[in-house]
Amino acid sequence: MSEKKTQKNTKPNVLGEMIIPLFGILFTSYYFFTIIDSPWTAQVNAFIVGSILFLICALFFIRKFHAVRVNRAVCMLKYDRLLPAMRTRQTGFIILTIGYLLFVELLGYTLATIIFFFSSMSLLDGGQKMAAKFTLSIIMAGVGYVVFILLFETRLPEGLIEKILQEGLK
Amino acid sequence: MTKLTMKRRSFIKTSAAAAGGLMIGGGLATPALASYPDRNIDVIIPTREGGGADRLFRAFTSLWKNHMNTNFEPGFFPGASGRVGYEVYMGKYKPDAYSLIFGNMGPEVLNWAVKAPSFNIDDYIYFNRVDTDPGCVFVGAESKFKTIDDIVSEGKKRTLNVGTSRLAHPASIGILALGEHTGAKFNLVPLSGGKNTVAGAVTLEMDFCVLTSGSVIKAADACRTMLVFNDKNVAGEKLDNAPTMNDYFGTKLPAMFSARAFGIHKAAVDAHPDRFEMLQKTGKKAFDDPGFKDAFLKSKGFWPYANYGGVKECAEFKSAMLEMGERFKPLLTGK
Amino acid sequence: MTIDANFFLELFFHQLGLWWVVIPSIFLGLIVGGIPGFSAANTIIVLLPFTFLMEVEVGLVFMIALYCSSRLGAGIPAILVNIPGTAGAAATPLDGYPMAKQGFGQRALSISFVSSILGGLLTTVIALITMPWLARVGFYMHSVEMVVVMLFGISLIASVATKDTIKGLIAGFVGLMIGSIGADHVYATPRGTMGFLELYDGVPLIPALVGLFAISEAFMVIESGSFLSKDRVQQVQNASWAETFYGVKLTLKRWFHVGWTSLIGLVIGVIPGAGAAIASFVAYQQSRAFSKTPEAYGKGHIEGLIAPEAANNGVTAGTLIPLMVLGIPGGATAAIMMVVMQYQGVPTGPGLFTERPDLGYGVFMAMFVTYLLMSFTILPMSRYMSRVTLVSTVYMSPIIIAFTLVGSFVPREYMFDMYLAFGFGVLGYIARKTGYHVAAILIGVILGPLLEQYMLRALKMSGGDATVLFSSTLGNFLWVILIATLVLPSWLNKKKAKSEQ
Repeated sequence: MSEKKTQKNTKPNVLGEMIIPLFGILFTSYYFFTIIDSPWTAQVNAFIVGSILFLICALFFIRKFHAVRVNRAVCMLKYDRLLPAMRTRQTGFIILTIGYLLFVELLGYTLATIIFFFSSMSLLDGGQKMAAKFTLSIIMAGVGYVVFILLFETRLPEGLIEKILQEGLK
Repeated sequence: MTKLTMKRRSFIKTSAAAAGGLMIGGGLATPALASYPDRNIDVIIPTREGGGADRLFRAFTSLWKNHMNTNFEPGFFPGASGRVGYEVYMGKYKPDAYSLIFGNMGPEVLNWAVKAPSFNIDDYIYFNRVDTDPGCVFVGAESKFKTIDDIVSEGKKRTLNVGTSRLAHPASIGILALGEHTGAKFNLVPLSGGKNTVAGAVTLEMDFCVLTSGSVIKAADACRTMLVFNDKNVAGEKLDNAPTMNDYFGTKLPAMFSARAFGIHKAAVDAHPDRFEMLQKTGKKAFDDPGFKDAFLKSKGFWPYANYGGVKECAEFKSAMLEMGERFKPLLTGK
Repeated sequence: MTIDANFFLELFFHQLGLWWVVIPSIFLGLIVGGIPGFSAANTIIVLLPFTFLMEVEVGLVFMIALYCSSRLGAGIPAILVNIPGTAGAAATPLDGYPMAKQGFGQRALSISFVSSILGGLLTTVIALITMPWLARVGFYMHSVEMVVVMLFGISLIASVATKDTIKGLIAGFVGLMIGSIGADHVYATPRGTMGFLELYDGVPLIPALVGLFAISEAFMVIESGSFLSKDRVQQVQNASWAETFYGVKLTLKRWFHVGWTSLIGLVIGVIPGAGAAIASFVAYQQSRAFSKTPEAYGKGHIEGLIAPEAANNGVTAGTLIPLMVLGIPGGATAAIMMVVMQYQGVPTGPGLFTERPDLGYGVFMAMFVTYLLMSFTILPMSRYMSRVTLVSTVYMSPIIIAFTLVGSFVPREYMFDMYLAFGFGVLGYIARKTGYHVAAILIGVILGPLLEQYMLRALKMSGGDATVLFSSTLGNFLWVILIATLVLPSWLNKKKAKSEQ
């Protein structure tokens, strides 16, 4: 994660900037691998676009490498800053989002959404006004239930709450 | 050939997720009880909700449910020209006759000829065919071509560009067969879907187009039909009384249909022949039910295309499609 | 029936008499347009059974009002919280969101509404008058010409990241590569799908849209705790009605800009299958190319907001023309309208205007009336809507995440699409943190597949001969304009700078 953070030095750290071009190169290489034996129609666009991407990335790397060489920029991963950089509410929030995605099928849309709202709101403001937040979480998830499931009949994952509400509505 | 092989586990993981609530009733089935059916029957529809298959499914099951005394619950799995739905059905649903697939035997079987699925294609059986919509050759209203002869003679002078919804489609096979028979040169250009294919003909970007005739009938005066890939032009005037290929050119091409039918695991048929028997009998009754015509027309269907077919007809058609797919494989895959 | 001024006047008052259908549909359209994943098309599908029950005339008015207002509704979250509800609104946040972040959300909404309404009214009138001729556009704009039109939009990649062009290009080309995922358009060979059948038809747009814009934004704004800085909060709290009127005034002053950008939308809309996304990007690109202050774009420039909004509302009238005149639907909503019309036994295509002119012209009149009624009903709401930016990110971020994830689920109902949206969110977050422009990635993802589709079609028709791209007169004319709009502005700027020196 720390690569994402540009270090607050006087000289810019170019390490973070490398992630997107590296991702592009890796993905394009994989993409080329999938079309080696394909008909020309599958190849023509990707070869044009991918080659240009390789070229621009090469230019970019040369430019950044030069900047580091002439001491106008640095390229390093500072381990001592790694942990503090990760101990943010953002990281917690991203983890909660992953948790939401993982548990929404198990718990059903409504219950998972209530838990997600409540836990993330509590995390983000440091746990103030818990009762109000709990009520808000229920209301917002309820709005989601009414709009998405009842009105638009979206087949969101169902859990205990949806089953109870369905029975109740019957 | 691409190196891509379907990572079954990862796919199943996601598709199982997508199945969501459906799985509760289908995949994690309760032990079979003596009286069949004792719960809803899940039906996988490998196209989008609200499309033609959905409308036809609702029309047919609105009658069939009375004869089966249970509800049919649709689950939509669009994508990859139907492949997603079939993979989900064959990979995730228990073969207990409590789950079916409502597919299109034409283009979806041709898929397998082009690229085999992860399951054995003999592991499922089609039955209760509900409709047959033949492919046809048509031009835009302002096209210079007046008859199929004009097209063929022009095709002998230069390669004509032919719009189609996709290569692996019965109508595409039909025109390739015509080219083979007459020596006319046709270059198939896939236009991604029926709507674009009609547009390709109307705006004259293509010399002419091929498509299932139901969509051409809907385009009414915007198009003119030149040839039908069936033994008889049952639509008559709606398709400008166009001749059929077999009549006009003396060929023996199997009917190039888009044909919607139900499919079931072969394992379910073997394990529960009584259930399958019931599904077939009641399906036929539903089709013959006078109420079906009303429901079919309400679903915006074209009644002459409602055409029942049993296991035998479906199997013959499936095998004809596979054979034709194999015959034209190099043209359909570019290899 | 004589088609004269009297006929149109009667038609106008008749459609106005259906206000009881139009106004509720406008509000429904605003909601479905604003939530990513929902659209006029899928709402009409859900409500199809009711539509069939309505009289054909009422059903059409309902669909038209829903269609127009959903287009306008998609711009609201795009401006306020950087969530374009549809691909057609993807160019709106480029300048709309920076305006909202500067505390001018109310003004930005007002500009967006007025340019949408004016663009909609103008193009509806033009469509009514020039329908038979406009319908011919599709006869000339074939694959070769569309390749050039796509390049107009894609060339934006180079200009959205003005600070660092090379990074803009990297982002754009990464987007183009991601957009190339899926089966090839001719032989359906799967490419770059990582084994997921769900990616066989290409990267679904809504997950990419909400991931790159909304989810990454939700992660970003947590840092500051608010969408606005402290002084801007005060500014929004103190904003009065005058702010709305000021937005109206600013837009009306630029009436000419609204006019020509909405015409771009109308013409692109007429081409079957083209759609609002390409229209709004092309309009934005053209607006920037001809601007005296291109450097101000992307930072909250008024014309940068007017262009995409006027254009995507111009598309609305455009997509109906091929349906009405030729009988071929220009887009998803038009296709469903065709189903409804056929169900009711109403002909589409040339027959419509001879057999039922009241319905043929009535559709466009309904559109005119909808835009007119929207100016009274929606414009005043801008003041209250803009308050959304005052809500703390403690509440907004979780709400954005939960609702946009559902939005990405809705079109196909695959959990996979939720995971994909999150993946795009992480990609967008990394891009933002490391100085890459997410809009450049998105332009690649949206326009890349369209460019490939048209290019392959042209190449397949020519048997693989690339010179086909320069084989048509209109196409060559468009190539010249494209090159001119790319080269001329910078050449003129350099010349100007030289003469100033």
